[in-house]
Amino acid sequence: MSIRIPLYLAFIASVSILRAHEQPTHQNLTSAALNYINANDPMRAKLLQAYGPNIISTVLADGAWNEDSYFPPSLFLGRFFFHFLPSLNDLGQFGSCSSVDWGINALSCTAVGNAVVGGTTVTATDDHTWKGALAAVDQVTGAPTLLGWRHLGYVIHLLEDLTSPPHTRNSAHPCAGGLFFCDPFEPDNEGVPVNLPKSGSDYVGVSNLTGPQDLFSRVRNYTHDGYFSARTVFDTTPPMPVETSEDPDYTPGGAYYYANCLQVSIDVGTCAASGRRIAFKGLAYYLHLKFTGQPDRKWATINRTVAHEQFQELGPATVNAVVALIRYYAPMLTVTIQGSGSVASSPGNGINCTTGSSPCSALFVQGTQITLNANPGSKVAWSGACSGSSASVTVTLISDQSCVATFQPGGLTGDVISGSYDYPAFGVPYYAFSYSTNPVTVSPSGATTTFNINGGLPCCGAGTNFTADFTANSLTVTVVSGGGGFCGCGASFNGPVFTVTSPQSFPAVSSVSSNVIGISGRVTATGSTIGINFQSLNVPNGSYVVLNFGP
Amino acid sequence: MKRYQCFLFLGLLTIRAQAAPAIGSVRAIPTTAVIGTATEISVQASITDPSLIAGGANLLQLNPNGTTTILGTLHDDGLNGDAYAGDHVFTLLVTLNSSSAAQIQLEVSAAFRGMLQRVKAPTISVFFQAANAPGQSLATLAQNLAAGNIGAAQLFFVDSDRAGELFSAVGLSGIQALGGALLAAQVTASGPDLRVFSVPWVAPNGTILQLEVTLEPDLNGNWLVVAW
Repeated sequence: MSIRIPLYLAFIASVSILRAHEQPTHQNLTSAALNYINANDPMRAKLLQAYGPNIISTVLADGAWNEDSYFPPSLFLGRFFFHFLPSLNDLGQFGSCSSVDWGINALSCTAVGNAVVGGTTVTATDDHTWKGALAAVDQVTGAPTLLGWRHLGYVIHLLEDLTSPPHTRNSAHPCAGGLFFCDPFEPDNEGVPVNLPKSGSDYVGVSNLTGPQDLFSRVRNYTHDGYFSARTVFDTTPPMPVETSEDPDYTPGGAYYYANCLQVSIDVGTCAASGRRIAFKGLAYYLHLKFTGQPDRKWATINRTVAHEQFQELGPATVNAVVALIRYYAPMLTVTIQGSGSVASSPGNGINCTTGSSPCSALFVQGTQITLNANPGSKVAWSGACSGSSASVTVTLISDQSCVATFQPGGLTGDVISGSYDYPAFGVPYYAFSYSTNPVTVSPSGATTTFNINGGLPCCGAGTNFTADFTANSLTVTVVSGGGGFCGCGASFNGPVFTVTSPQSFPAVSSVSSNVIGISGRVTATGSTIGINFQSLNVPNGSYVVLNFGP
Repeated sequence: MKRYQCFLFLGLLTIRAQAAPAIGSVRAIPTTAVIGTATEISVQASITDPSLIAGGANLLQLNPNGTTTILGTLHDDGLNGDAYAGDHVFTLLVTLNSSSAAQIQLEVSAAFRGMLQRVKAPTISVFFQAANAPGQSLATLAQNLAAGNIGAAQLFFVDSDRAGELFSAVGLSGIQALGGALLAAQVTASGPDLRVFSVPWVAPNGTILQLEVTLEPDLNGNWLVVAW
């Protein structure tokens, strides 16, 4: 953060500060949002926990608290001047930037204190912005780094402030004793438990976001249009809620109500018979009424009861919004594999999924362009957020997406070859053996893998090569001439082609050529051991056999 | 959701911000306690500068004779009252008591690498008061209203401007009626730095309403009306 402070400072004649300590509320709200994710979005919760136990909650707690920091060495101006939407201009306090300009657009912003603090001015640029969060990408996984999450914690603080009515109604609320006004919403709700939204509910309306500015705007409007700050009860600045009913003026505990409850009012139990309570008729209201004869809504206010009810309703809405921002910042890509194959993402290795580990999910920074590579790539069909049948598809992640890679049955990519080698004695009209090698993983997709048979075939000698190409669902056996020899099988030939599905046995082949008279085998399971037996005649010395699992 | 801390300045001086390490906001919860009652106070300080020396944040008590007593070391380990490990908010729980009315001044100091002297944050205070200090404040307010001391009465309201505007609207008879009502106020709810009173009020139709008035202390330990 760069700070230029033409600070007009003198000595302090008197200090008059009411307690200003609602940072714990921010930490509670952020924590509640993570709790909601844990309860309702287990895969995302698991990915967040992968950073380390409670690491994300701790990192976010930093911003929840410290976004309210002062500008050192100022003792009276701070980042909180830029927590309003639109920007603050009340009680002589002025912020040149709204919370969007401060935290998202990263503008240079100026805070001006009123005459009481000497008209002090601070110009600063946010050092924990949305842009900073976007730039903090783990180059290996494509996921946000902890620094990115730390930046986001500060941005979340800004969003949370937009569920505080004073922050949406240009109500400075300095709580300086005897000097200013103190809105009760924040101090009266410190330490109050946060209601979680009902699972699946969307009070604010957070679907199809076009960006953080969009979310900030929606949250601000939701709060502004449904709630008042104590200084703006029945503010005539549009838009204002339409009051549809009013209780009798002399009902004990009188209040103003809206007849129509919000969904959240119903969910949290603040919807009374008269509707939703929005303002309190207190001593000031009734004093004015009694001695002027005129009921005047101006003297209604927000008391503890109303403030608590506001928070009961706005708490879930805040969680609603914060969860949306977390999801928007780090959308989740899920890959499901049907059939046998694997999918890996690039850049990075956020997704590295096989049939056995499917479905696989990973978080990526908002807007990341991800390429998914299928193996084998020749037999894959994409669905969900991905489409087509190319080996690679590209997804630009702006919200949670799911892709399904369907491999044709029997795809054997990645299978491991093992077994044992044996053959009959020389002179037997055909040789029966199982080829084997140490376990080999066929990679990359569709590649031809060559492995040696220890000892070699009797007529082919040591070092006879067997090559397997596990690119698809069928097997072609080819014996290719090597250096010649008395076995002399000729140049080359293609063996039988037959379909392999997993698990199943290879069909027996009685005769495929003058050289290979039979083949049998088994696939015990996709991704596990394949054993193959085949019989051949007169494989020439120095030849090698191609086991081609190809189309 | 930060509310401003406001300082009153009498003169002007231009200075330039320096990059020297600093301690952020410091708070104590609660800021008021009852005389003769041992009270656990949570002191929290935001210290984000990475050059802070581990274990280098101390809580000091400023004694009347000018000396200081180290009460302990603030910690950021998520234990013993600290909410989150590593959130740069350092916490220390201390138990304070006083046998008489007192203002206990506390100060957080921190050691930073490359700094010869420890950095200190502005002093905060915890006030030990009579148990009925909020009620006494309300009674004094009522007496001022009954006596027509408008200016003095306004100082008991956080939003003194709003109070003054209403006093002008209702006139002296209204002000005195308000004073009379406040004399009958009874505490109905209390919490750390919070008292809620119920005030009987006879409506024009004869109905007796019990109206809520909420008081909280300012940083000088004075109880003010924050909602009414």
